[in-house]
Amino acid sequence: MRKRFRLRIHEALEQMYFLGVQSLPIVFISLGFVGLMMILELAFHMRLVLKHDALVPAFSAVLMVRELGPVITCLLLTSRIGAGIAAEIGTMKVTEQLDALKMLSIDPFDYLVVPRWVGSVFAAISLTVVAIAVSLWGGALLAIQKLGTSSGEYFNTVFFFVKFPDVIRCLLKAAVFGTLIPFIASYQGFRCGTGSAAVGEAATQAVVRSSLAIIVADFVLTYLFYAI
Amino acid sequence: MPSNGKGLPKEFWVGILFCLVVVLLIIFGWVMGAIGPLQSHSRFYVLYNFAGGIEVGSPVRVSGVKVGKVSKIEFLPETAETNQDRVTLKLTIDVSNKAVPSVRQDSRFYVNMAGIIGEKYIEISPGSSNSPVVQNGAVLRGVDPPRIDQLLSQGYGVFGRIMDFMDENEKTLTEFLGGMKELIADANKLLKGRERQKLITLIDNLNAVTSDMHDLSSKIKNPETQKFYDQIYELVDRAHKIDKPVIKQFLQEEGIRARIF
Amino acid sequence: MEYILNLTKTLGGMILLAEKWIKLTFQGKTRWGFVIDQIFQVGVKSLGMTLIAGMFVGAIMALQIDVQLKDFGAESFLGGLSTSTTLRNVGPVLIAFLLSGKVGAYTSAELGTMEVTEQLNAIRLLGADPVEYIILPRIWAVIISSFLLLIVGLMVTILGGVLFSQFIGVNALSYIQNIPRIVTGWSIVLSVVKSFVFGTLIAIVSCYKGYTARGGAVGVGTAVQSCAVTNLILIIFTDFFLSMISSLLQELFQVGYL
Repeated sequence: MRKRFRLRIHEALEQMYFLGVQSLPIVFISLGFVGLMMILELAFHMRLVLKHDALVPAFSAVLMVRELGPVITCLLLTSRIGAGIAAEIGTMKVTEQLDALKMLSIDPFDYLVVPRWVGSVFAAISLTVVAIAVSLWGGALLAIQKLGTSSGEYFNTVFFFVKFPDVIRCLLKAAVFGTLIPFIASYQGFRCGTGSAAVGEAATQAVVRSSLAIIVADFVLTYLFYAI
Repeated sequence: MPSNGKGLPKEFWVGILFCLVVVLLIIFGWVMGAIGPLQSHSRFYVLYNFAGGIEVGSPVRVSGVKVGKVSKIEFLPETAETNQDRVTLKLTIDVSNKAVPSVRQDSRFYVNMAGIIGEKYIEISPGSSNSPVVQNGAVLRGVDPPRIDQLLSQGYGVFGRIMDFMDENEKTLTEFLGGMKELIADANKLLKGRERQKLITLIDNLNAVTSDMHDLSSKIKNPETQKFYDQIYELVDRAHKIDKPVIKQFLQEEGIRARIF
Repeated sequence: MEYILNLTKTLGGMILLAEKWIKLTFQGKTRWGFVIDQIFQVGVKSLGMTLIAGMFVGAIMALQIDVQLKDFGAESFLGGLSTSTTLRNVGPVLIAFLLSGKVGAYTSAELGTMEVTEQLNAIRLLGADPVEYIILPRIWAVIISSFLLLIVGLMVTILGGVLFSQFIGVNALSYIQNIPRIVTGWSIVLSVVKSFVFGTLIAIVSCYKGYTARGGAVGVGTAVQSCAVTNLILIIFTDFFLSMISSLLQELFQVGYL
């Protein structure tokens, strides 16, 4: 009993490292660019609607923190781990490693899914925090460069509109998405057929279904958090 | 990037990521004002009748520098009174300790609006240095902001009455304006048309008459004229005495028998 | 370091593949029969997913922008702003993410399976070029179907926004009437260009990743995963650069504003 518990901690750490730390560069670069892009796009829209740029940082930051930060980070995470988990578990099934685990009286759910779940939730939350920080910082660069706001002004407007509960809700979203990904992916892996074509099919389905689930869950959560 | 398999590096990097996330979260919380350094704030209570859009979390500034925020807004029960007047709102504000020495007993607490986004904040004017420093937990009276909405509604009242007057007397006003217009048009025609030359001649003549009059009056004023006047006066005085019997007597003396009167 | 080397290698390989694709297309070697077949395989089967995703993306943006505009007190711009933001960047990016998952992963999985089951080698043994026979039609099919699906998805986002605005109590008519006040022709051109570029990216990346898959079932899984990741990163990059180019052009020629 003790042995198995230690084993799972080790597995979970492995997953945290793989999902969290190794996804950092991708998240760093991508979300930086998303932050830049939002400033650019909203500058255009605000010029159409309000004829001045003062609200661009605030609007972009609110959209980033409430919506795009968690969603894009978790979609990146999905594509990185969703296919991976499904393919891994599918391959284990194809090569009959799952049966071997069962013969060793190790529950494949405990052994395979729970560590991935822990790792994925950890990765989703921490990457989202990093993503928000990076995108706000990237947005600050472009806003200072292009719109001519000072950095103090930028962060003042941003933190007047982005409240700390927004960050908490965003982390809740990330946790939900982080839960969805490994469960959907490993479900696809467990019901994978035989042969490498089936593995590919399972990986594809895992990516598609978890991305779609993230979008739908995001809608539901946004509605629950902000519209009621 | 460490290569996997060496045992320690993975734990190390996961730990680093975890610490990074915690630090970032603390920074977010601190910047967004959800958590602050503990026990470095003083708490004051400011009383208002009208808070002008202040919300929980609105910033508090001393001399324009952000030093704290509004942490609570309460409605006071009916009985609460200060020595000056009855107030209905109690705002709890947290002010950073570094700014507290500037807040004196005679500091004033204004509700101001800043920037293009219309952010409302409480501005504390630094008091005079001979006034005592406000203690933690003190209750102070704030300066109620002007009720712009009330001013507007009064303004609307005045304008409304003007509008009513205009509506009621619309016909009279129109007629009056029409009459004025005709009058002005006629005067214009007179000044611009053929009559203009006549008018100018008239004015010239008038001018000549007045200058003649002026000469006359200045002549009247010199001493010879005065003598002439005196003589005329004497004459008139004498002539006054000439009445019916005198004339009769005179005529009879002259041998003229006339039947007068 | 290894990471950067891998990235450069992938980029180079994809550019070579793109070069071959363009060359073969200009030589008229595209088998349009296969292309139509593949469009059915790839495109029509993804239609349902695209519709659902489009609906939800439109609804999410309408909800989010509505909540934000309430903060700023400018609810009357809801229709235009949410539609414009969705059409110009959020919509293409999110739907392209999903398509890269669906179409890209499907294509790379299929090609990867062909590679590891040595079907491509069989074609090579028969003296034919697998790029010409297998990959060229697929690239065209993925480009065309992704492009069409993205356009359909963007239309559906508008519909989703309208439906959702009705649901949260905004008059749908005023929502629709507000759309042309913010959405300019330039924005529509930009979103069409983005759709086309994203479609091309998905096609090249997934075909390259599938074509270079090695090592059995694990290799296929890795191919799908790295295809999805590469797609996402490239989509975000190109989205930013297209937005940048568009804003530069707008400033240069003063077009696209109302």
